Amino acid sequence: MVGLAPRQNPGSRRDWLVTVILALWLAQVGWLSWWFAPEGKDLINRLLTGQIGAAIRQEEPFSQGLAEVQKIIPPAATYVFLDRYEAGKENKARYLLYPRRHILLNPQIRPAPLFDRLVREQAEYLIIRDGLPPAARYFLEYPNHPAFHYLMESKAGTVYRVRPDLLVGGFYD
Amino acid sequence: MIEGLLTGFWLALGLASIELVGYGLLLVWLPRASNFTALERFALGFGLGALVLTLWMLGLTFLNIDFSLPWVLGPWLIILNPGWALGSRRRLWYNDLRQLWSTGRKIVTLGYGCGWTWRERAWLILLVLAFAFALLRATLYPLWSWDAVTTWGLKAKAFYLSRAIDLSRFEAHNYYPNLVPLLMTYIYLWLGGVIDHLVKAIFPLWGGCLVLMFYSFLRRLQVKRPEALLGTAFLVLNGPTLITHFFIAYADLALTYYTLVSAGLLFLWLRGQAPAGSLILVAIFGGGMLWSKYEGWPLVMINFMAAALTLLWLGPSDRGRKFAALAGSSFLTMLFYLPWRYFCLTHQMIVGADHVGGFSPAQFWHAIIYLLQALFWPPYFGLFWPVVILAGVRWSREALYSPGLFLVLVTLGNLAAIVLAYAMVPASVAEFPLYMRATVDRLLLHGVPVSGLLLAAPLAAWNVSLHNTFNYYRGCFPRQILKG
Repeated sequence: MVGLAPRQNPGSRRDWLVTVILALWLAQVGWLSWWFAPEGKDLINRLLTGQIGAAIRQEEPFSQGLAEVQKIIPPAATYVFLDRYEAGKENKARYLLYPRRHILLNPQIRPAPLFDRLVREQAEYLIIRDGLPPAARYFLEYPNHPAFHYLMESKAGTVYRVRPDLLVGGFYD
Repeated sequence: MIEGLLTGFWLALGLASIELVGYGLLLVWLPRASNFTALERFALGFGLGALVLTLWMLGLTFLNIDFSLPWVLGPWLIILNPGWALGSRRRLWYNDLRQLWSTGRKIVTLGYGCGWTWRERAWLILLVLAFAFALLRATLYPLWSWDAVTTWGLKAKAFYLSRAIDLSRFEAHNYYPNLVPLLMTYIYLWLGGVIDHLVKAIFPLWGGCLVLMFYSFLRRLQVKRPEALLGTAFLVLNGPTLITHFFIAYADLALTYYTLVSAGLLFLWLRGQAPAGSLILVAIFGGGMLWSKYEGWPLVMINFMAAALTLLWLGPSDRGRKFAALAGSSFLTMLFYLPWRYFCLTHQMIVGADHVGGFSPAQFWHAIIYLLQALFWPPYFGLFWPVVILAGVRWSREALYSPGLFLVLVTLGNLAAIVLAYAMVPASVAEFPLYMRATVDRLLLHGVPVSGLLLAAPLAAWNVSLHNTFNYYRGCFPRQILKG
């Protein structure tokens, strides 16, 4: 503690604690530059190549997939996105596909609650990023099911067109 | 190429307009006796401009008027007409421009030719490098960080596309205050589209204003320029948390800035050193805290309670008048929350249900242990908290009998509020540690610059021959504060 006390005669004696703190801090600044070095390197590369802004997003397969999905889902439509929130993908989908209305459901959802939600929300599209349990898959991929129409397999997931008006009746499973 | 330059031009104009509105209002509102420096007016101007423009955008939503530049900015330009409001303070802003030009030149030339020592230049170079990195990192990359994409950026995009505060098509903590999304929307209006890498230029600029205010507070607390620069570099370059917030488009930086200004001016006021009009700014920037983030509420209360307790403990002779002034300031602050609260009520939005649950003793103890670890874990804030705690402990006796008590109370209050918040957060046993790990650095960040003012004493005493630190604390306080 003595070291942090003011000097009676400035410059006459070394303040060991201040010196230690300063040395540690400068070492920490060195560590900080090491911490940010990969980002700095990428930044310099991008400055040199001019690959910046929206182009960076398009390097990512998931965003490329969303760009394809964006073309087939109209802005006023509602879609259900099946994914786990923790995966950090659905928030990107919601952001990039806005103003399309986004409803997140767990990919392990059973068919009945899924269909119920599709009807209640009047969702016209369904995007599955992760695998669905076989039961739900069976309904969706049943070739002649009138409510679901397979549209595309994008890097963002499998996209179906949904006719919620054809999903009638109570849902039990 | 030309299109890129034009977009950059509109971005610069948009950012300058925020500054112009805030700076202009400061010139008009503040009493002539107010001795804020040009640097302070510049740094305060950005925060004030952001606050009034976004509150006005909320007002436009109430009035069912779509967002557009003439409606958002127009009224302020009319109010601040250079021929009238700003014209009356022509000499002041002319002098400010000259001073800012001179300061800018010193920064650009890294202090060469200005008689600066190599140490001063070294600290300045570190700061300039940090900000150059943050500016490029912000403006070259699109929005990518979690909350920026999930909450703040999404809302900004939604508000821009609907030209109003329209929360009908998503659920993203809709009750959160909207200063940051609306400010991003405002820049989108200038850019003419959702260009989400350029909009992030707001954040390094805001970070710069925060750092300027921290530096200015140190200077007002008798810290000499070399030590103030060192202290400022110590604040910025300690762990990656603060620098990261200069470029990730989170609302935490805004809250940190408003908290620093509000608490810093309150501290100066308690010391009897605040420029005229400071207490009104304390209230207005307290309003900025409330309008930035949901967490602004407890921080505002801690600030005012710490000030009241300090007054109560020191017992100055004019404490009645001071308490009345403090009460008036806190009342004015609360008024800033009413418009958003009214919006939530009229739109049937439930406030805070996802963050406030019952008190959990297990989470409480867990939070204390984790918080202590976080304070000393270098990848969060480097050496910052250990050194601040060291300084606080070293001067605890002096602080107990001086307005320095305010800073100690604010620091302890912030830490206690974080622990309490974690004890009440509705989380399962499995997700609680993950939740803490994801948020503790941000919650600590809000109080970092204010607590950093505790370093003013050692920095001021560094090369100054004072009799002792107690005299440093006492020297510039009004006598009546120290002993009635």
